[in-house]
Amino acid sequence: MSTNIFVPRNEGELLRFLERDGSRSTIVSGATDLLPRIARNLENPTLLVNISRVEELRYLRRENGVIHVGALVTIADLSRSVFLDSRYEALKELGLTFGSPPVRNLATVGGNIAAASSSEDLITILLVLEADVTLKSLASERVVPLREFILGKRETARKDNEVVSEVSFKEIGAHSWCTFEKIGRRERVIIALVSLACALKLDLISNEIEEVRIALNRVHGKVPERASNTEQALKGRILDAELVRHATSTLESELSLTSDFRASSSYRVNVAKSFLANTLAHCRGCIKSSGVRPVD
Amino acid sequence: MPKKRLIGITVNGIRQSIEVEATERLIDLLRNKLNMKGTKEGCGTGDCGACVVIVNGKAVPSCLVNSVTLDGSEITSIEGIGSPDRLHPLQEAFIQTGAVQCGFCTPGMIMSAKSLLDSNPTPTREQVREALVGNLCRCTGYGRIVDAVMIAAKKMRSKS
Amino acid sequence: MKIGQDCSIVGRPVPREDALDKVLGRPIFTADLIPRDAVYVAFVRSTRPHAKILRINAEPALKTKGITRLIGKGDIPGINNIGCIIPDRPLFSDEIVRCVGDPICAVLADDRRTAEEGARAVEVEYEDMPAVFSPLEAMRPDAIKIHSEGNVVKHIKIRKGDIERGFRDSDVIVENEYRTQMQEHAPIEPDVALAMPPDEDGIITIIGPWQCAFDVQDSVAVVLGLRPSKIRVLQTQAGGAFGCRSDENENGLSALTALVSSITHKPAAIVMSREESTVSHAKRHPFFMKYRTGARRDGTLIAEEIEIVSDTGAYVSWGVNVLKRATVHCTGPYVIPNVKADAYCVYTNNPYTSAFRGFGCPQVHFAAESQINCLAESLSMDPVVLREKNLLRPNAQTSTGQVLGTSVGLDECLRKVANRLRSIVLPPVEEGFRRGVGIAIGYHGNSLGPEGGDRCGATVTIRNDGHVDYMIGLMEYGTGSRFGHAQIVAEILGMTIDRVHVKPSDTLVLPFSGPTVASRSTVMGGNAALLVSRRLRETIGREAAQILDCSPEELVFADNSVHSLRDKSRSMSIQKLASICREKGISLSHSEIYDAPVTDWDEEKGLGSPYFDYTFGAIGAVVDVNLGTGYPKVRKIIAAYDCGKVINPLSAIGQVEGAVSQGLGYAIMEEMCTKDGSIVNPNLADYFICTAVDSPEVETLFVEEYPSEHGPFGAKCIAEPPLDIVAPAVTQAIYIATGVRIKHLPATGEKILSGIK
Repeated sequence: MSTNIFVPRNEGELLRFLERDGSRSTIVSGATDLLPRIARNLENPTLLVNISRVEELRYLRRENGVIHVGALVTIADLSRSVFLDSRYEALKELGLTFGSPPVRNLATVGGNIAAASSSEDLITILLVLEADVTLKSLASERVVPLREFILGKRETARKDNEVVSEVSFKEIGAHSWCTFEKIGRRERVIIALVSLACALKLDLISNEIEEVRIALNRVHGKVPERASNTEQALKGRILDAELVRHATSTLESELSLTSDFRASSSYRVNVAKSFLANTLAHCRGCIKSSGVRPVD
Repeated sequence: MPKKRLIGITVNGIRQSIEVEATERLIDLLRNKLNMKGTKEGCGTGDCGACVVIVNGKAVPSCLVNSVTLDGSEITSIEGIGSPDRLHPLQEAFIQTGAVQCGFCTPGMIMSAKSLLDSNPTPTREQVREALVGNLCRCTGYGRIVDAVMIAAKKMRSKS
Repeated sequence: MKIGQDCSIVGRPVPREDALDKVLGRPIFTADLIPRDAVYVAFVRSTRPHAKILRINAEPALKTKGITRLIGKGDIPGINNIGCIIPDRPLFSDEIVRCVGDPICAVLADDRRTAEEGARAVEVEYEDMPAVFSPLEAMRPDAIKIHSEGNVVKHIKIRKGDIERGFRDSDVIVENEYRTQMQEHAPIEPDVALAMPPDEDGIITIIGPWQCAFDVQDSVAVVLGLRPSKIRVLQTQAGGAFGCRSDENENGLSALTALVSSITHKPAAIVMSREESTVSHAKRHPFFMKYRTGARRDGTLIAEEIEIVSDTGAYVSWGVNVLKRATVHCTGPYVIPNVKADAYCVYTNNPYTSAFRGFGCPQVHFAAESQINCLAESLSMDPVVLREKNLLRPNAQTSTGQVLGTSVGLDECLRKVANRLRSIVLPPVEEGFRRGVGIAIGYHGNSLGPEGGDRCGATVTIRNDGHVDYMIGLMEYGTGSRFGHAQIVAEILGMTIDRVHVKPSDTLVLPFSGPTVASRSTVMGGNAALLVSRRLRETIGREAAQILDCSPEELVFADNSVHSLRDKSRSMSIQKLASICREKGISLSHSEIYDAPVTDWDEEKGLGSPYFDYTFGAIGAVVDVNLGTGYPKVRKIIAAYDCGKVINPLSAIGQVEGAVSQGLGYAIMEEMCTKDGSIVNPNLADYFICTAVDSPEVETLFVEEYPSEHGPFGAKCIAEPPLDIVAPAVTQAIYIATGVRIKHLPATGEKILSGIK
């Protein structure tokens, strides 16, 4: 393997490099996606730029009701962040459900988003948090909603001279909960056959769904997406058993899933429906019983 | 862009200056450059945990780490946590409980366990299982490994 | 000396000596031993399941920087064949490749990655031939022939009693079809081999994790055209094996590295990636089974008719032996007067299948035990009561007409598990889950049985310092059974365990020990250890009796010394005794070979006494099924085993728990998938084995009241049997929880959920 590598020491070096050589290089940080692909002979890059020493990209901040996660924050650190209270159950549980402990210590938020590979849990959760992706180049900085950033499997809106510098999302507010479920062939260390993320905001008195966002690892394409029909069927309605039935039925018609050697499409649909029902019930229970007030 | 570069690392407490290739993995640096064979390669893709070592206090799969990024880092491998006359409590416990069969997963398993106990000295059995979930063992069924970690945790607490 | 009572070391949970090296991370595995100047070898493998090789173009590979040469069948000085039993497998393909992954030739380089890249760059032109991937199709007379003798390699039978009459006499008949999947061993250490060039005597040294050192020696000799004594085989510590290091794959790895080493006069190494390792070595045979079981209304089993089709892939390897064992055990451990079985070992263009812990027993026990559960359902009988009515007891007759001896503790195993399941307290069932409990029982013939050639030799030597070296040609791949032999040697010689050392296995100095398979190490190796240490004890005992002025019968060997029973003051250390013997020219090194008791097997009728002992056991499983996803969460496993005298409880429990873990994977998550003969999931990201979170707490109970007449101190085997019956226990629990009966393993969430809906 005749791969060469550049290790920029700061953001300036990185952006200047990308301006010049972005089109012929591959960005890597934790390398938890790329190195296995190289080992399996699926990729053979000639030039790598490893950004894991660009400390400017390693931060976790809360500003004006927005949580900013620098690209180099590891999945492990994200899951333990003090800014994420129990409402962000989905992100906290990544500390158990994303890969394995050693992989979580290496995999980065930016790396995972930019790879848009088969490890989709974070993307699926961030979609329901309506996250934004900040892309920096030497001359500019732009913000792209995550749902517009992921174009397809291993395909994103990042230009060759850009780096994903952060992911950010608005805090989910009071009476809200964000959860995530997935299933595979075993309990842990699995690429999801089906996964579902949900962010729910509920009126405590009337049980009216004020805000709901649902994403699954597959809806009709090959990447995680929001299930917008199902969201529409839920928003503004009273969360009761009848609504749940209606929503799962809407979800079933919204999903267009494929079969492969891992699982059939009908199994995936059935599990997705089960996840939706569980998730709605779980969120409602957590919102009602939690005394969590957002920290100001 | 040079194809090789010099990095300064501390391995098991000893400072070293080592020349590494562009894509040399930490596991190759340990096994080939430093001739430390304790860290094992079971898959090369981060799926088995046999290659886990501790870098800057965190357990990581050394088959996924680019050595060139380690300048200034501290690395602990299985060779650095105990010796025949002074075994680490984890090493002792693994021997006593029958947690070692073929031994191939053992170094990575012990490093993950050490990483757990460094941050959580009083784990439950469930927490031990979660911490070791990335270390595959095909021989033991994990029961005796969990026993060993619990026993080592108790011993380490009573020492300190 | 009384055996079985008052042992000081045998039966104790002594921690293993070799564990120290392992926790320290010492370089004891093959890949740790490769010298810096080694040449690396990589196979060029077929990408087609069935094809003629038209052309091999090595130019692109030789242009790749670092590929030094190509090695092909033209370089083979001897015979291009590495088949274990039937010579159906060349080292390098002749003109035809029969499965994806079939080795065609190899390339050499100075490092592993370059060799792998170079191998991929070799261009092969194929002419595709029709391929067959189903053994049922392959059995048809018009199917494409994979080998010239036809696709049905062997037809194995049992004909006991009168099957027609049996079914006529039955009040209830239950008929079902079962299927089991291809399982991968997934040892954490991928395939590896090392060979050192010929020394001044022309001896080539082969170093690696070989389960069958003597088979490797013979096979390499054939390929290299040398006498076997010119091949020296060292068995290193293996990172797991479970059967994947016991067949042609090992022969091929060792022959190739030996060949390269003798051509280049440098050390030669093969270090495979996980993916290639998975493709390279064998798998467990998928079985297609039809069972028809008849019983009386009161639950007495009367008749069972069984048909088994086993997919042995492109090469038969140990396939016939796997099927023999499977057939012997195919009814499960019950008394059934009328049995008709027909088992077919069939070639396909799938990857080859061979030995895997259990060796045919997991497949048939899944079917047989599921049948008993279905029968219990039809009879409205408790499945435990139905089993108790029919299971094998001492002096019972098996399905092959073998009259068992007294070493049959099956009943007690079943009772222990049933009782324990009633008494354990578990966390309550979570909402959305339903809990079920299932029990299965099984038996497992010890050692090689009808495969024949069952003998095992060992050597014991007392050194100048009074320590004892023990050597045997059986491999250590995790079981610790060699350490158990050391305990036996220590027991007989009255030594403390720290003075008995297991030395590395080396065919240069070893008597024939046979293969490290069939859970035979404790029984066969242990008996060899027993024999040889008794012989040594007799030899030095004669001298001690003279010196201590007493009769040999009065000697007591204990605490590293020997004394007279009547007068303890008349004593001498072993070290002193040994040096006196040495001066007198009395030999302090002995070798003995233990021959297995004679067994018999009538191939035509499938009747006889094929195994001299059986291990019996029962397993209970508690499973909570998630009703929304179908996912079976196994909460607890209880295992009770009659393996006679337990030589080392620490090691024995380790074997039970490890077998259960693999059996659990077999039951619910492991499945090697193929598409047009190509393995789709050859890595550990898509092939799922149990993690620490998937594995439930396992409770193991041993029943030692039925010691063997043959095994050392009454021991029987334990390494394989628990794997045999986890699946039927788990699928029964799933049935109780959901009403869904899984007949096709693995019992995935998908299959269960579709049954619920």
